[in-house]
Amino acid sequence: MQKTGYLMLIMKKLFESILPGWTGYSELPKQFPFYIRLVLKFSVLFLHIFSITNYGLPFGMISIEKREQLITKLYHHRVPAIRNLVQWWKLLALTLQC
Amino acid sequence: MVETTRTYITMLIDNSNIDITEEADFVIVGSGAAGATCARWLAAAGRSVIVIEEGAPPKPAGGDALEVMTTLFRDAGASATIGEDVIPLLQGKCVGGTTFINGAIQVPFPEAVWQDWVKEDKKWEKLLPWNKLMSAQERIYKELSVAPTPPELWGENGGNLLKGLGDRAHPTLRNAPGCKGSGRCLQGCPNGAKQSVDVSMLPQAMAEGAIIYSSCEVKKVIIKGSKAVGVQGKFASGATLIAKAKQAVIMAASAIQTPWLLKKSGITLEGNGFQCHPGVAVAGLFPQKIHGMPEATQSAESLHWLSERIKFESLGMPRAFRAARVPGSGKILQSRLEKLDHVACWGVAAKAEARGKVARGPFGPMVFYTPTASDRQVMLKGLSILAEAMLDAGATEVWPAVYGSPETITTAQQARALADIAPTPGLFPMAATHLFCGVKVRDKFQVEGIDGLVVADSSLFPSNIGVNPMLSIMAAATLVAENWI
Repeated sequence: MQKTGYLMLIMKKLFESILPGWTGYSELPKQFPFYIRLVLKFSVLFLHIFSITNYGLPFGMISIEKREQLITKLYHHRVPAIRNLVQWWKLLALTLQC
Repeated sequence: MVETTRTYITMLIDNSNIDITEEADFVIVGSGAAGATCARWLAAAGRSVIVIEEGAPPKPAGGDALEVMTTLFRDAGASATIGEDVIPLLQGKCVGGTTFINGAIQVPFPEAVWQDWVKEDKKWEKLLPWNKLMSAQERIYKELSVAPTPPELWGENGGNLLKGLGDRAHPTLRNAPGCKGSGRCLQGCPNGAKQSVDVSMLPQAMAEGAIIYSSCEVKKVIIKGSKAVGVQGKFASGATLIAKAKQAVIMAASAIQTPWLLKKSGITLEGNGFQCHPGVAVAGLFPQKIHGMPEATQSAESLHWLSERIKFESLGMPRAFRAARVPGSGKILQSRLEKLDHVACWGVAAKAEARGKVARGPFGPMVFYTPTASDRQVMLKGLSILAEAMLDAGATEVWPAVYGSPETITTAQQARALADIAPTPGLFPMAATHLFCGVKVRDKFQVEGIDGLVVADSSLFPSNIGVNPMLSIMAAATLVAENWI
């Protein structure tokens, strides 16, 4: 699997954790500027860091319940940059929802 | 005696695939509120005009938020400011610019702001004399058929704002005669009722001989010696456009693109830093259905707290944007979204004092901007007033989406407590809509040091005006055009 494909797979799991039952586009829209798509895709790598720190496993390998708990925790995180990031993901999940 | 009639060719050339070199008295960069206004009046005075627009001729988008973002917004609405808060920058990119996707609200130029400008620098008395500005505004009122939103279009969202704020709020003035209340101004009016400049000023400019080149990005302003003589552009097809200006190049590309393009062209800019209206919204759950009935997108507003730098508006948005205002994630969010049609959404636009900077980035303009603590305090106060008004209007619960406040507010006391939260960064999600400042102008609105390089958009404003700026931009652009006729 290509690297971008893997990142999109994690992003899909992220969107499902923000909005259970999320069904949306399998790629980020090409109209998004290149650098925005790049930043968005690589931003999900932070999820792995948080997931490993909290549950000892990468984000894709923890249960859906734990994924939702982790996102809720990040949504209320004391660091503004992390809350901003989750807000951005949330807006994207809602916008890309089919 | 033979009676002669002038004949006109209406010309909009979209995405030419052949290289073009053209000459006109005026070359206008941008076809939004400022560009279209200049084109309208200059063409009416018999001047030859070329308008260059980066976006394509617009078509109203469907209800889908993604379609709206990807077809009508710059960078698909995905670009944002860089700073302590990440604030999405919402700008239209199409013929007609942001006027095609705004909420149709028209607010007169605030006199207090004009007085501040004059106090700061007497040149504004000469550049934008108050009486001339007001008569220009009257002309625009007529051109755009501006009128108050009729009661049948107040709807539940706006109607409840009017109810909650009482005599401190009023129906908005809008440029949408014949509005059917589809609530889809932000997607481009599906009924052609909104008098955005693509259906008002630009067709009239074209009827007077103006030529519009769309899907053409201006890459550079051509300067010879100390005079602007034209611009160099590139169509989406790859073909080039050289537009030569006999009299002036008029920049009307927005308070981000104008300074950026001037910097890219090697011009050193003086001027006050970038400003905007950071907007924040509050959502509330009502027992009755709020959406689904005819309602103007933004039918109600309040200017009562302008002296405290606060303006309120009811917000009609595509479903996904409204959903983004609902707090929480996971199952909680899912259950709240089931009641989305019962959720009212109102916004606070702050007359922020913060100044930022538009810089050249590797992929385009980069906007460095962080609201000050005082700006955040203003927004918190605004949210507090709106939350209380929402409860007064009958909301069963209010979701302020402010970090550090209860997720759900049900009492006036809780609503008032919002104003006391410490104004730290990252408190709430914001969006930046109205953009200002960045270029210092001199006589005839020319950029310092360059003859024939004129600025007509809100980047010429020395400060944030605190209200929806379309009318003010068009009134100022009218005076810019008059200076060159």
